[in-house]
Amino acid sequence: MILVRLLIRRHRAMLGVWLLVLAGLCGGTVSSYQNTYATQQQRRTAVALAQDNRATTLLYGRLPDPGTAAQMFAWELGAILTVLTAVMAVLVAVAVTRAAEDDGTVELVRGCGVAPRRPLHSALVLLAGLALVLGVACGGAVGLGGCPGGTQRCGLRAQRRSPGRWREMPVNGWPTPALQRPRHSVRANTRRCCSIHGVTRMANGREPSDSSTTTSTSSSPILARRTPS
Amino acid sequence: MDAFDLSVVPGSVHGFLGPNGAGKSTTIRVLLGLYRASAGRVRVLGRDPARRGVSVTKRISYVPGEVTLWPNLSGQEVLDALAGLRGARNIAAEQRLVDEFALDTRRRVRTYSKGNRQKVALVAAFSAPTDLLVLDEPTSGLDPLMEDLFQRCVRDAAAAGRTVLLSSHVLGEVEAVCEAVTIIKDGRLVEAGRLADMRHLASSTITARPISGQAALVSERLRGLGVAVEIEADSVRLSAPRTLVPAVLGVLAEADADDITCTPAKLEDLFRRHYVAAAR
Repeated sequence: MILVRLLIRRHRAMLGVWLLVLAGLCGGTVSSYQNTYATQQQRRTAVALAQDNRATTLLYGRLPDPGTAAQMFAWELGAILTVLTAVMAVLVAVAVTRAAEDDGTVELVRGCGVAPRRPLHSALVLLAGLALVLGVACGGAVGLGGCPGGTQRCGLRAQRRSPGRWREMPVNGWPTPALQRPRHSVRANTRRCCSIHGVTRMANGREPSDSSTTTSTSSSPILARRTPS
Repeated sequence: MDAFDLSVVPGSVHGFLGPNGAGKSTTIRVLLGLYRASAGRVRVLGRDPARRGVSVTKRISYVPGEVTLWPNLSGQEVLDALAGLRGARNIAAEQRLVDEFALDTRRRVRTYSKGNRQKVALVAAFSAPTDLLVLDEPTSGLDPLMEDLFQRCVRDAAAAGRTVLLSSHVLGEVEAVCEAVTIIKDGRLVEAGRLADMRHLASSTITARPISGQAALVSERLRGLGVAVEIEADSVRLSAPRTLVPAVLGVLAEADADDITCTPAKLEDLFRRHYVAAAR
């Protein structure tokens, strides 16, 4: 345990920055989708753009209908977060294993009566702990970051409790989008859009139809987001 | 490593010498169980370090040749961490050594010079309650004052019954503290034994200044004893085996020579012949 604490102490800056950045990304994105596509029509336009775009489909998979903020979040950030988490895992794993062997601190530690495998075990414990903390932090950040704007789940719960008040309450000047969407299970939605990585989607032959795209000019949903029609 | 044998008497200070790349650090790592020997028999404190590494290294203080510490920890935190990993500590001894080595343990390791990092490792090694000290070129980077202190620490450790294996390039240091030495070259044993015995086998250097004009005569009589003599200006210089030293000095005294010096073989003379540069 001392060795794990030592590793955390040694790499606390790197670990802290990664956790903050990834959790921050999770926390900020849902509400930013909700604010950017405040009305159903704005969102529909953006969803249509994204669904017709082959580049984004290749990168993130197909954005499923009806394209709620939660679906958009899981669709776009799911992929980005996966890649960033993988990069973090590689960098941290190298820093706590090979780099320590290379700079000689493992030799110093082993010279203090530490079993040969303990440095590796400690590194694995650190990585597992980091994954756990990252998962909790991202989940928490989505919950916290989504609620003020009204993620579907929070919105629905609030609606069930006091529908009247929520219906009248605009957030940032916009009506809460969660209240305007059809009431089906958020879980099902999330589950659906969690498995939408482009390759599998396209392999299943469900890539977006090439039907005449009248609106699609932008290749990025981020660009599309900035210019909602 | 091949055809190599190293045995250290418990409670002694053993010097371990050899040119760069001779295999000193490799040997030490095998002794600590960091490397596994492909052949041969290794016993440290009566145990095989390759199989029972923990029980061996728990009783060893090791100072690596290249001391790397965690840069964002302070010196005190490093000492705490090392003691914590070992699970045994002598805080009083540690504090005393920190004071003696004039080490500022509040500073971060990243601000330390090589010598200061070395000091942290030495303080941790000497203060830990261990039976064996394995020191791999521990004084590289230390200033002369600290080297004196280091030698005192080694003597104190030996006096306390601890065994010290000291790998070093500084011959004076080995000469000052070691009772026995092992010399290694290209992974092979070159020479091993008690320093006093080795010195005894080596020649002493004798210089003297005979009365003017008698240098040739004196050198002639010295050659009669069977030693090679060089004449430099009006003085003679020769290298004589221990057994011939009294006879040589007798001849010089008889000839009323001035400035007679007799220097016993230095470790350096013993080793110089083994330190022939070989690219490794």
